[in-house]
Amino acid sequence: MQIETTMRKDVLLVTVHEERLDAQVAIPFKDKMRDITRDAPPRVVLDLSGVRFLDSSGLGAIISVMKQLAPEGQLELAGLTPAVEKVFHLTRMDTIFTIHADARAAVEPSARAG
Amino acid sequence: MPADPASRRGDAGPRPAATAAADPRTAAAPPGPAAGQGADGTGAPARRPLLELDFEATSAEVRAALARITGAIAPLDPAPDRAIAVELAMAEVLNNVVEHAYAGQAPGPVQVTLTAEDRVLICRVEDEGIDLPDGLPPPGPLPDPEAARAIETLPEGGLGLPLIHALAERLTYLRLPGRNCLTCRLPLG
Repeated sequence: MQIETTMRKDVLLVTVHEERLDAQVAIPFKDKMRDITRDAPPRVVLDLSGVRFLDSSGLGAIISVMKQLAPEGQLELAGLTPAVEKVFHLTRMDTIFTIHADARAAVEPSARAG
Repeated sequence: MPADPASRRGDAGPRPAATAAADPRTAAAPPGPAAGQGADGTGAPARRPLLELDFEATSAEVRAALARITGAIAPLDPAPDRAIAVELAMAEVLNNVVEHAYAGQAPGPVQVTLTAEDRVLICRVEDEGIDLPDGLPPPGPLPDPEAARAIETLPEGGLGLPLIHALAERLTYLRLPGRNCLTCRLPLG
């Protein structure tokens, strides 16, 4: 599970370097995210621009991470590729998450989505 | 680090006899297309399958199968959105076999047959696992995340079947003697 973390101002930016977030890696992803976000600031941005494929297991893992961070912390998403966006759209989870066009927009307060 | 599919059955003891027993179809290796009545079971003339796969139902093998499936449909030049739908629908169907059909037992075989007909991919997935006790749940509305009201009540599982219903057409489930057979149609655009 290749995940990179960067602190940007008061935001923890987590970049997933996995082409597929699927049933095979859903549990390791959840475990790694739990470790990474243990002392995270309230805002965590998950950069998914490198993820080409997401299935319901991967989506469930992302929802699980979001629930772990709440209520003090918030998980936001950035850089959804078409296949990933489709899963969020079909399950209507795009109504629950704050989704940014890309990680840069997410960490710049002026570009912050509502 | 990817989960080791073997670890889940590491201490499960010897494989059940039912799984170890040779599959009569693979053992007999019938020549030519086995589906004499058309891959969608409608009695339509048989077409040569675009792809036939037979593998062990593990998440690692599912990944490999999906790569084969996307590779097989690429020459048909599917619309980009349709190609995504095929990969996602097949992933969810095959994940269900791994997680539910062979739940609590060693991974068994799964067969995938894809046939293309008039810009529609006809998919057939068979396994030798446990049946769906009440058949295929009917297509219901996707869970409404906004109805969850609180983040802690959002669903983390159970999203696969709604996705299959949303993506696939004419989804059918048949319990045959000792095996499950799921068929569906996925337009290629």
